[in-house]
Amino acid sequence: MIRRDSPSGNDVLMSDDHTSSLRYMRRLKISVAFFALLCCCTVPAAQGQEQTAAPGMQGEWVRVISPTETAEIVAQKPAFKIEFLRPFNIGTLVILLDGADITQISKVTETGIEFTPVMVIQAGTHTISLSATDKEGLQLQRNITFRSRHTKAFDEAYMSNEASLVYENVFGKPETVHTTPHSRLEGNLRVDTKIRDKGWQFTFNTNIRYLDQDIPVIRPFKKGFDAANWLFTGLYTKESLQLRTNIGDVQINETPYTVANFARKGGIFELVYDRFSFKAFSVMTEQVFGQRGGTGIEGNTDRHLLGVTGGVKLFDSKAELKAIYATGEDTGNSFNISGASGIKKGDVLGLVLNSDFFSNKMRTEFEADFSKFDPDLSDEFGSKQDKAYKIKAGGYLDSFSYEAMYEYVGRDYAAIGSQGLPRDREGFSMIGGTAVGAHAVNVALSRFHDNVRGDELFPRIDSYQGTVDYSLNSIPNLPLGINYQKSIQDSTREPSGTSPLEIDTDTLSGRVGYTRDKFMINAMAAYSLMNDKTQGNNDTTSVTYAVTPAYNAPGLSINPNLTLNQSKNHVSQVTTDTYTVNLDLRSRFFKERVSFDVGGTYLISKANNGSLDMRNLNANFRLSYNLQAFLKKIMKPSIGVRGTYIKITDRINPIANRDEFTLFLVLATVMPFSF
Amino acid sequence: MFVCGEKMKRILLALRLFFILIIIPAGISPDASAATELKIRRISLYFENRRPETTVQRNTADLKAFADIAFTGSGLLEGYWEVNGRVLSRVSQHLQGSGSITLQTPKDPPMPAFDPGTQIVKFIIVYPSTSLPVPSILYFVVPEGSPYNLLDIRVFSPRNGASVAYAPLKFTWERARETAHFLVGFYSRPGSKPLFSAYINDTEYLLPESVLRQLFRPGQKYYWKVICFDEKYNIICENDPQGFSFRK
Repeated sequence: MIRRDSPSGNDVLMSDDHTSSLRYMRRLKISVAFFALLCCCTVPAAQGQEQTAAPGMQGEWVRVISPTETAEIVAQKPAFKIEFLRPFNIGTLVILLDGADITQISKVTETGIEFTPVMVIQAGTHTISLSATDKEGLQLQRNITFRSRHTKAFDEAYMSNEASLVYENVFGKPETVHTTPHSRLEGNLRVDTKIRDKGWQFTFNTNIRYLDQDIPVIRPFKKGFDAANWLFTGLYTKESLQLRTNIGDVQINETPYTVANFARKGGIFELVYDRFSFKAFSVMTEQVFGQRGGTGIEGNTDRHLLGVTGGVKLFDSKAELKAIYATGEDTGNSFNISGASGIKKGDVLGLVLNSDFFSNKMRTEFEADFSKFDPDLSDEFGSKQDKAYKIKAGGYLDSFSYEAMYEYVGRDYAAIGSQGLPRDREGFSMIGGTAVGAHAVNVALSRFHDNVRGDELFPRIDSYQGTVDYSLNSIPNLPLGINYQKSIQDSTREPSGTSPLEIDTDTLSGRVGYTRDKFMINAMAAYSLMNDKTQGNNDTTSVTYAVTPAYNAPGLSINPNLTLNQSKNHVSQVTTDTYTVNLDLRSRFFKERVSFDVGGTYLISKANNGSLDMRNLNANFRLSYNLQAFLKKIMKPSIGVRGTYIKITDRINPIANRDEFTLFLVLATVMPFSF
Repeated sequence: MFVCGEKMKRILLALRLFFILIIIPAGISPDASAATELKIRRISLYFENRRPETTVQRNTADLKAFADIAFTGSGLLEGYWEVNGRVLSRVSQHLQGSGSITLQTPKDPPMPAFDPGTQIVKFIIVYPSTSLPVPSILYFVVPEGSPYNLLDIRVFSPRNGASVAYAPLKFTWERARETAHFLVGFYSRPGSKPLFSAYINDTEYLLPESVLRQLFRPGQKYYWKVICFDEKYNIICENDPQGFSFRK
């Protein structure tokens, strides 16, 4: 038996027989729904009530044979057996386990009920709730509560692993191809470990990679073993106290103006006591792959971001006051990030007050942030201080949702933990949306301007934007939608000698879909015109048409996609057309032992002035045979061939032409093992 | 004060002359329109886990990559998503007024996930020209894969958006493929925690009166969704949440 975490955060367990099914569910991200449904349903009758009999009921109508009521059971799938003590209308019987109706999947006879969960049940308190009506129409009710744990030593303790290997050997390739290795071996070991007992919980998750090939590898890869990612978490909970520590590949997300979605290597320590919370973190600012940087935790700001936050919840948690401080240094570039070079250094202090006094009808957010930032330590200029403010309100009123925000971000405002933040802007935005029957409308309006300091040497540019989106779902299998956006840029306060700026952009798009059985088709068209009203008159047009038919049947799915992108520069009168044809085909046959998959793109790019005329075909296919039938329950190997074909025809620059076909032998396997 | 004011005026005049005589001829125009020429300040690529690396099962259909692009000025952004050198889709979008934009790989075509091993994703900007290095992110495809492509399941009643009498309500849907079991969930909002759920073997479910009275209120909108499983409890199909309400 193995144990796993459900993405919903609830721990679930499952037998070996269901290992693969859990993996599928995790992959498809639908286990959220599945296990949340099992573990999180909120039927009031299933919460903490014990052995209640409904009014009008005389005496017991069922007897619990197992589990013993209020007992603690050591089992991952605790079965239960209940005996009926008197006749009643069996057709009215409803059986709930932790709020989920399991009547149809239980074995119900004239004499009683037997049920064994198909899924592993989370350790903790559970309630079986029975209801029915007797022959006289009186309501019968009974709740049975019991506890379960998975082992004697721990509420939960498991290690789930999966090792996979992929070996590729080139059958044949053109001599001109030097970047493709003749042989390549890649492996991955996934490890998920968890121990939970009483108030303590520890988890460790990692993916360890192995790579070897007969040509050098490029960054961020390296030959041999490397930990692609890892995360250790520790949690202690006792009454109002909660201590949590995360070390490894962590993510910090405070506010967009301080530290936003900052996923890096490092550590976070959190303490929550009653209404109060405290957090401290130290993470690398460079995004690294593998073991580089160790734990990522340092006590200084050298290429690290350090920070603390403190918060207090007020008025029955309807409001929260929070302070955030972060300081650090960053080179600005990682293998997945490209930005201005130079080492940046900065501090930021943020004060946040959030409230929700009206049950989601009106939430408010107030934020004031103060930064000190030096965009390049190597130049002669020092750091500059600036500030940012935000006032935001939003919520839901029946089917209507709304949000309004005022924002000010100073010219020199910047934070190490949020470097993509637009600055030097002030203005407001409003968003509203409603869905009535089959109609849904969303509207967004905004007005911002730059040059917030009113510098006389520069103009102030006002930016207006309005968007309306309408969708209609009244016709079955035929959803429709249309979207219009208008953007205006208009300058004011131009210094003498500079010409004013006025640019309008109109974007109109429409979409329609049709579904019938296994076939569906979606079509989209978008037209966008940027009208430059200045002397430069640098107008541009962009038009996109896309058609995506799809056929999905057991063992076969075909998803082609056809797109035309047309861009036009009105000054040069140059029009560039790009036709893209994509194909995604997946098929399985011979009792799913053989699979054949194809993915490819054919691209035609052409400019009307003769500067571009290119055709590009890139196709990949894989034919594999699943050998699992010969090695049941040990591993899941497959053998196959993989091919890539690249053909580039450049009629303007023929030296770029390529015609390459490479064929590989591929051996792949997966071996799950758990403790 | 007067002296200071005069000094300031002279400095401003000198600065203005500097801009008019030096900067403009050098092509660094302070002209407002020139100030709005589209320039890319920063590109950051990541997956849904916000990291530049992820591990997925073979034939995953819902893998997404994102590009945060910070820019100044206005103009037409042209670029394309590329996976292992294969162009996946092109992007042609007007950007206006400085700021940042988040681009996402399209649903169709899906990110290729039938070849096991490491795959490299890039977003390449064709216009405006930029000297920024092309960033990349990578995902590892584990050899084992789902035997199925997830299908949509058709639901029959109640129809989407229906308003029905406040009484035990029957929900019906089709049986797709080799479905052995169904899970029907009821929600107050799509994506929220379910109010109630039921495991069933049949293609219909009658909401019990006791559950109806406890959890559902007339006049409020609810959603329902069906997930279907094969014998081994592999998920093989599901439907989009459908809205319904009970009349007051």
